[in-house]
Amino acid sequence: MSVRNIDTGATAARYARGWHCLGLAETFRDGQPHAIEAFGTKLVVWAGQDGELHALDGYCRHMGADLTQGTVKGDSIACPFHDWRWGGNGKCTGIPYAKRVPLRARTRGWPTSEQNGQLFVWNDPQGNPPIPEQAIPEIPGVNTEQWSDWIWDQRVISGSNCREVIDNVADVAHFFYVHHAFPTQFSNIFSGHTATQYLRSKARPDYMKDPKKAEGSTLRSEATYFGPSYMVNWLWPAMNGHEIECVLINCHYPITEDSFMLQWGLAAKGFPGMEPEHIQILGQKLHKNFGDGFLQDVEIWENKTKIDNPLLCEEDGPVYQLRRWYEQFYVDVEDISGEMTNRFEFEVDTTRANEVWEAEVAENLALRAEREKAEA
Amino acid sequence: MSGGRWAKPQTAAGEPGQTEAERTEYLYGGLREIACMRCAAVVLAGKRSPKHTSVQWTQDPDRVCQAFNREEQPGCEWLRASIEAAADDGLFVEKPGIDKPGIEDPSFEGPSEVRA
Repeated sequence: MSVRNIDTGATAARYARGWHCLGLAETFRDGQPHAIEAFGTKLVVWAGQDGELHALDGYCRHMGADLTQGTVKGDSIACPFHDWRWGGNGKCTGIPYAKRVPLRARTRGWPTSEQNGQLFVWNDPQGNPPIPEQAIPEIPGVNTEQWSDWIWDQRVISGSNCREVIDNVADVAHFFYVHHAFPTQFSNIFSGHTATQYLRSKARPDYMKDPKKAEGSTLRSEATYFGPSYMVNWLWPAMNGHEIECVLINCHYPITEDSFMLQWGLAAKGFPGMEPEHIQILGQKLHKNFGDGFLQDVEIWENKTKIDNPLLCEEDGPVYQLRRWYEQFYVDVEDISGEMTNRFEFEVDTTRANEVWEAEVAENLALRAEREKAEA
Repeated sequence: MSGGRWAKPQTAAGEPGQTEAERTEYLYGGLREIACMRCAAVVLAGKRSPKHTSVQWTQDPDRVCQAFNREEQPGCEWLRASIEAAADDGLFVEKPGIDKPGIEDPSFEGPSEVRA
């Protein structure tokens, strides 16, 4: 039998088409220009006097100076080098020392939108306007009194392409090994520009201080990617049988082809009659909890290789179908095939895997009990 | 944190075209055409075990299936029942040499209950 080789394939020669979240919109409304390294370049993001948020290529088309070191003047961004002004639509709005603006004074812009208190830019290598059907949906409930504010965090992941984050949508077994939970039910639906993971899991008692508490520690999760990079993850964790509702945003934007910015934000729904500050504390606790889960994945991503020919077993999820779905964001719109967007449903049989995992956990607990007995 | 370039394993490239052939197999291997017992919907479906199901639509379900997403559960109960009925009839029993060209490793002797 011959040795199996890893096919690392070619690196994507472009960045995905679609809405990419840059973070909480409020953080950009301080009257200053902000630098965002993304899509292989640097973007300048600012709020005009009218409050609208804009994103342009950060390098001035006059002499190439860095607009992120410039100043907001009116609704335009002014270059620090010669004060050329650029509007949110990418057109030069004025050169104070010139009689008129050159005809070709137009730079690259990214259409922006705001939803759920977050700022999005539309990236499209073909330069087409946003596709209306792919608008980011409003998350009902959040940003109301019953919910905590968004608690937001971000981290640069280097040495890895953002496709690695997407793969997790179809990855059932890593929940046991990386996140220390039994995935008891797992299914996927890919359709159009959305990809969803339905998961039910329970905690691994061998990773808990008090293993007896594992039984009441369960999780229901519904996570949908709307486009290539913005996932809305509804989570219903239960502790001692009491269910909490929260929403986790898992999103990213590519910096280069082998680095990306990972962002995650959480908002929690308070119980009826709960004080606002207690809802906030609940949100912070859950944010810490699920944020730690992210960092467990990061360790894997930063050290793994790209692999175009994953070798799967029957207990694995539909990695190939998921990657076929993801491919639609890397081809011209004319080249999107029905294969990439047709509805695909997959339910993983977790019976066999969970039997083996239960036995492994039981063994670990027995070893722990022996050790504790010896120490006592 | 490694912080470096994307790691590359030092291995030779695989057989030419192998990745593409495997991809096709992973996407379509074991799928059978199933017509819904209630409406005109025809899908490609696969079942590797009683609890596993794979459904590949080739049409827009909202257009061909009247019961689609109407119930609490996503999808269609009638279609699910049609797939289960086909499974009971033995439609998804693998025919070696047709379904798994070159992917199943005959030398693998994992736990017997997996191979059974």
